[in-house]
Amino acid sequence: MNAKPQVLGVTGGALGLSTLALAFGACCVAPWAVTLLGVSGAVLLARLAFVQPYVVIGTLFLLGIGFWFVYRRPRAEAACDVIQQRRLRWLVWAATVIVIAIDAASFALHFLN
Amino acid sequence: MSHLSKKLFVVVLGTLMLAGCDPSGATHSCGASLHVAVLDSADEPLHNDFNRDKGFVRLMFLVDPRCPSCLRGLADMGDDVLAKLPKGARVKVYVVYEPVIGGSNKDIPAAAELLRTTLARHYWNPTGDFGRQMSHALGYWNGSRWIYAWDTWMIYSPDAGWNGRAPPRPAFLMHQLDGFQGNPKFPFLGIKVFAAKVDAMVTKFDEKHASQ
Repeated sequence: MNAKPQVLGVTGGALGLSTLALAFGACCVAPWAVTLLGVSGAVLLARLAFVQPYVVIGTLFLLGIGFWFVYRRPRAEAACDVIQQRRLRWLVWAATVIVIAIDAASFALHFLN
Repeated sequence: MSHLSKKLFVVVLGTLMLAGCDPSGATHSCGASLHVAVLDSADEPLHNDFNRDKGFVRLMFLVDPRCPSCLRGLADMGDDVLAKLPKGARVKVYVVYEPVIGGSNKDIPAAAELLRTTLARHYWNPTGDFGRQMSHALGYWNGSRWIYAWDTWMIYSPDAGWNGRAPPRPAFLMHQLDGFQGNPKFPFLGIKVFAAKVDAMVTKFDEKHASQ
């Protein structure tokens, strides 16, 4: 079975969630929230900011699934597509670096104030 | 003008109106009237107002009008503290807006709307000096790190006075600054705790007032 759609899905999901974590982390130190969401939206974002650690855990969980897809033992019929498997591994590792950097930034932003 | 052009005109006009006016309808450009005093270098008129209101429990909030956590704090104060005060409670509220993350006086009406009260007076401190003074007055240090005073929520007792240049220390304060996370000297804002403190001070003062 081709794991490409699943790997793309989980890495994309992890990137999306880490961006959300960054939004929660930055919401209290960046003025853009009011511009983009209005006062009520910014208040709502600040009220939901407590979910940021759970969102970060979600990104790590999705990356974990991505690693499971690319490093699990392939079935016999899929084992021949070594190049794609290698590409997918690169993709997951690249996404991991980006996601961890964004997740770390989302926490670091708290300490700006 | 064709029917389609008219429709397009209405849509564009509506969009421009929505873009110009906050849904709360509280921006200056939308015609709402809110008096915002500009603090001078001697912190007037806040200094005078504070001393004139002696005998009231006074709440002072330091916020940036574009900071989401400050806005959340204002909304919580409006909903859970000010809206629940008994009618005629001897409470005054001062909100000092500071440009910490780029807020400007144009953002104040929409922020002020969140308090949903007429008890509050609003002050704009364009230089941000008030936050520095207040930081020194409060001893806002976390170890060796000095922290600017904003997103800070303070309660002053009815007998507190502002004597001299520096703003007075409050009877109780809370904040939403990550720089003080875990510092027991400066508790993080818990709206129920804050509301209970305000309630206790108002009740205590009312009893004292009634017995005199």
